[in-house]
Amino acid sequence: MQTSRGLVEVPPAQASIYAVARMQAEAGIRVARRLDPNWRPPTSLTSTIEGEIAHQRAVLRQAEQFVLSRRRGIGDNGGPPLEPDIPPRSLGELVAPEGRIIGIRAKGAQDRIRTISPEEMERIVLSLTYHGRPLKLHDRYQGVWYEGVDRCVVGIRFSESFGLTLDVRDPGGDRRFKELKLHMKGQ
Amino acid sequence: MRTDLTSRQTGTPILDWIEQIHTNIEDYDVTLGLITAAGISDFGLSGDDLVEFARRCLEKLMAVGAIPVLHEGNDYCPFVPTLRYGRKPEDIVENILASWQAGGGGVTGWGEYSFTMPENILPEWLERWEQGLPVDPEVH
Repeated sequence: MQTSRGLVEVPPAQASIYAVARMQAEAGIRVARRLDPNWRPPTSLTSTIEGEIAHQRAVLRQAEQFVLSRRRGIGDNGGPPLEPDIPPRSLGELVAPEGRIIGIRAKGAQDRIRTISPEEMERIVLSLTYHGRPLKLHDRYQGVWYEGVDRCVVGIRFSESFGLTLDVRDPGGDRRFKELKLHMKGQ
Repeated sequence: MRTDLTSRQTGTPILDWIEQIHTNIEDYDVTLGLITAAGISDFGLSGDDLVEFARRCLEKLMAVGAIPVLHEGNDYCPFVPTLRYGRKPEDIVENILASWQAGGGGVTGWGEYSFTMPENILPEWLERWEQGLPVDPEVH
């Protein structure tokens, strides 16, 4: 997979963890730079995937601290620093914000497989991972499970054939989303 | 089972839905949980109609060469082919339906009654399964 240090070969589960960490770090950088275009994230010389994941998490932490320091006293609601940009959402609000499931169905494919835009993928992953919690389910899933704010359980994994993929393991009560699979367009 | 139903979510006719069930597998799997959830929420099925819907989906999976698997593999392949439900397609369908109904017949959980295609299974495991031999990922 592509990291900030170039192409490295990593197990699928770690690739998924790295993808989440990187997406969160990039969101943190965006928010910090909106407050100060000159804000710079910490640098890293790591060459391992574990180091890359730790680095991306450090970037997020520093961005959050910077955002907090700027917002303190100007209407800060005490919530997570990036919450205004990454609001908490239920699974239904994320995958069917207007009632119908987002994305398009590939020709000849089942209707529980949807292809969504990179923007939609980022919106779902960030909300789910920033406000949810990672789960250790001790199964053989080749990605990482997250429990969302409405107790849904969604997996994030790298598929060699389809790229970043979301798997709805537990739809949190709405069977419409049971084992819904979302791929990102253009991978 | 009524064959004139369409999905409440997408408008897909029920026979088309069954015909395309295997496309869910891609490079991963499809499970009875997806089938039963769709039967209930998308097509409003219950009782014998839900069982018949599940049966037709499982028969389609068998017809395209899907293999029942357990999520007990390793980092290289999570899917281990299983002989738990038999080896012949008709046995697999009937035994899975019987097991599912004995457990209450509701929507099953992640990874339960799972199927994948041969290309998603390690070749040495597939070879043993095709010979009717059990696969232990710790050994084989």
